[in-house]
Formats: sequence, C-alpha cells, structure tokens
Amino acid sequence: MAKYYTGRDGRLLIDGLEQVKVTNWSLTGSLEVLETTTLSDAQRSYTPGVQEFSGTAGLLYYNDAANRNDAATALKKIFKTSGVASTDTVDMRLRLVEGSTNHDVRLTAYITSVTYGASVGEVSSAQISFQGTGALTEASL
Amino acid sequence: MGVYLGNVGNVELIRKSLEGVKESIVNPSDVNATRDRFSFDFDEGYLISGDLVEISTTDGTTLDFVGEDIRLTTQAGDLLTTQAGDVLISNLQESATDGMFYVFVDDIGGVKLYDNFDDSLEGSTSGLVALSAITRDIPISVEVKNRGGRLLGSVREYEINTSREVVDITALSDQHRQQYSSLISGSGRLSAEWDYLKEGDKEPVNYLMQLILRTEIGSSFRAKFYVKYENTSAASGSFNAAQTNDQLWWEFDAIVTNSAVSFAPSEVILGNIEFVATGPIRLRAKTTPVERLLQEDGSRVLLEQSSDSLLLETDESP
Repeated sequence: MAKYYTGRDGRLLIDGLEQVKVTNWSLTGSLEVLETTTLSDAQRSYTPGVQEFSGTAGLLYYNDAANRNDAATALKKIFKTSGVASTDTVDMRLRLVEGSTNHDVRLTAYITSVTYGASVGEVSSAQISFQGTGALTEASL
Repeated sequence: MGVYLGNVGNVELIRKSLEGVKESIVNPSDVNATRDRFSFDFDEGYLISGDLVEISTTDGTTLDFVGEDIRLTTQAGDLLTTQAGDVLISNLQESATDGMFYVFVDDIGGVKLYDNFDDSLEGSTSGLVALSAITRDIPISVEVKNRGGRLLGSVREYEINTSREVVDITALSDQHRQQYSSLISGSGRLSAEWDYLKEGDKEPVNYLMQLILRTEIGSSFRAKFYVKYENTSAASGSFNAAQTNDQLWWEFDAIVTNSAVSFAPSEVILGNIEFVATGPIRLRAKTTPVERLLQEDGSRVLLEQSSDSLLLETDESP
C-alpha cells in the first residue's frame, strides 16, 4: 500500500521504553571507504572500511501523571556526578510505524551531548545527540 | 440579556512613571520668588503640567525655597484631601525636607508648584505654592508619583485586544496538533477629540500625546477601560435599576507606542493613541450583590412557581 511517513508514524524507544513527548529524531549512517587505487588504474577504486552511526533526538521536558520524565532520564546520562562508564550505553530504537508493522533501526549507543534550557514563551525541551557503538542490532526498514 | 451601547464605556487615566528619581541642584538664581517659579536641570519632556511630583532634599536639609505650607500625607505618602479634593495643609510655620506638588511647566522650562491638579494644568495664580528666595544650593531629588485616576475627556472610541500565545507541543505519534498556553499580551487604541485644556475634571487627550515624547521616564500610564461605567443603563433588554451603578472595566499598565492627530477641513481634530499593555491585564467588576431573603438556617426561600428564590425588596432608585 502506498504510504508517506510523517512524524505521526515516528517513535523513539530507549532501553525498550517508548519515550513520551518526542518532537524529533534523526539518524545518520556513514561508511568510511579505503582507497585501493594502484598504478596503472584508470579509475579510483575503494574498499569498505568502518561504519558509523550517530543521531539526534528532541524531547519535551515533561512530567507525566506518574512523574515519569524521559527527557530528564536522558539528560542524566551526561549530567551525573559519578562520571560515565563504558557500560553506560543505551539501546536506541528508531521506529516508523505502519499499522502493526514496525520499521526499526536499533543500535547500542552512547549519549554524547545533551542540551536543555528555558526560554520566555517556549516549552523547555532537551536535545540529545548519540553515537552508535558496534554494529546495528536491527535494521528492518 | 441587556443590550448595551458604547456610551456606557469610559476611560480613566492614572498618571504614573515606571522610572526612578531625578536628582539635581537648585541654585539661588534658579528661584524667582516674585513669580513663584523655579527651575532645575531636567530634560525637556521629563515633567508635564499636571504631574504630581515628590521633591525631597538629598542632604537632609529643608526645602527652603518652598513656602511654609506643609501638605499632610498618609504614612504611604498619599496626599490627604477633603471630599471636594482640596489638599489638606498644616498651619505649622516651618519648612519640610520634602513635599508633594502638582507642577506646571512653562515654555522655557520654569516650574510652578500647585496644591491641586486643576490649577496646575492652567498655570493659574490660584492654588500656586509660594516660593521663597534662597541663599544656598539645595540638592534635590524629584520623582513623578502615581496619582488618582481621572476620566479621559471626549473619547470617541476605544478598542482593547488581548491575546494569548500558544506553544506547539505536538510530539511524534500525535494525530492532532497540541498547544500549550503561554504568555498573555494586550494592546489597543483609542480616539478622542483633541483638546489641551482640562474639561471639567477630565484629562485632555493631549496628555497621552505628550507621553510618547517623554523620553527620560518612559511613556507609561495606568488605565481603566470601562465596559460599563457607573450610573449607566442598558439601551434595551433585561436590566434592573439595581444594576445602574455596576461597573466593569479592564485595568492594566500600558505604554503609548503611537500617537497621531488627524486634520481634515470641517472635521473635528482627533487624537489617536495606540498602546501596548505591560504587566497583568485584569477584567474587574464591581456589581451590587443580589440580596436574598434567607431562612434561619441560612438556606434560601424558594418560590413555588419557579426555581428562583425570594429576594429582599430594595430601593430601586439610582
């Protein structure tokens, strides 16, 4: 069935938990290529190198009725007094929904930067950036 | 439902200043005791005739150039007046370190002090505070004070707009846009027949036009825009005499942002003022409560023919 996807179809799950009040997410994948061109070649040639995945997401700073605040949870990955350990990874799942079908990209990542603030006439929100580590664990696009 | 026409509205202005105190020095040559006029260094537009100002010495000495009259004030600094509006004056023959006066500012920046608003607008000889010659420099501070409201004269029309900003909080997966209420702002405009002299006890619109040029202390004023003024009635529809003195009004501080005067042959000169509200905007009401006949236990006496309750008879004359 023909379908365009919009923000209405978007979801963000962190550690298996669907985040509330997410305003946007984006994911960038890149591949480093290594040149293998040699003398006498007429065209440049490459071989695949290392893949990299990174992205960003925006969450409104919002307390739900159960006092759950996903933005604050994400912020605490960086704003913490004990420093960041190698085990402080998160399971990110970036999802587009089509009925009962989920189109997921899933990766293990470190949250690398967080920004939040308050402005007159605006809702406070948190912007987070994450850096994938290792291979994607799911890519059902 | 009553049907109300625009003539039940009114505009009441309260002169004020958002800014602080102006400090200066009065030299002996600044005081003209013969004409009861003095001056000090202030930028043009700082004072407008009719302003209520508090003049104090900053070195703790007395205001020697001001006559002997001492105005009585409350602890809050408000002038004590009679029911007729006249300022109460002490008969003690001594000078004070401060005082509150209405000012008249002439074309060359000379200042005359008055004990009432009406005379200060005209610069008349009545109500004029006598000044005395001085022999020393007197450091003073001058502050424009808030003052009781006066109706704005000859208002043709006014319009108040209030708006509330909303912030988009739509999140992923939402099917409909969601908005969150944010800041309230207000603005408006009024149009009045131009005059520069007082009309009875009313403020001329020329004052608002002067306000926008008042660079040193801002163009702020407080206003009450009446939806229904006292002693007015609905033109038709349901209305009872007990409502005659009900009053409803918007009240807020505002800053004049634009003033214009329109001239056209054979038409009345109109002063048009635009303003924006600063701070909270209140819609207030002063209505006469309905007086019901109650039982001993405080419950209402209900009528048999309807669900209404029995009211006390009142004098319905306005």
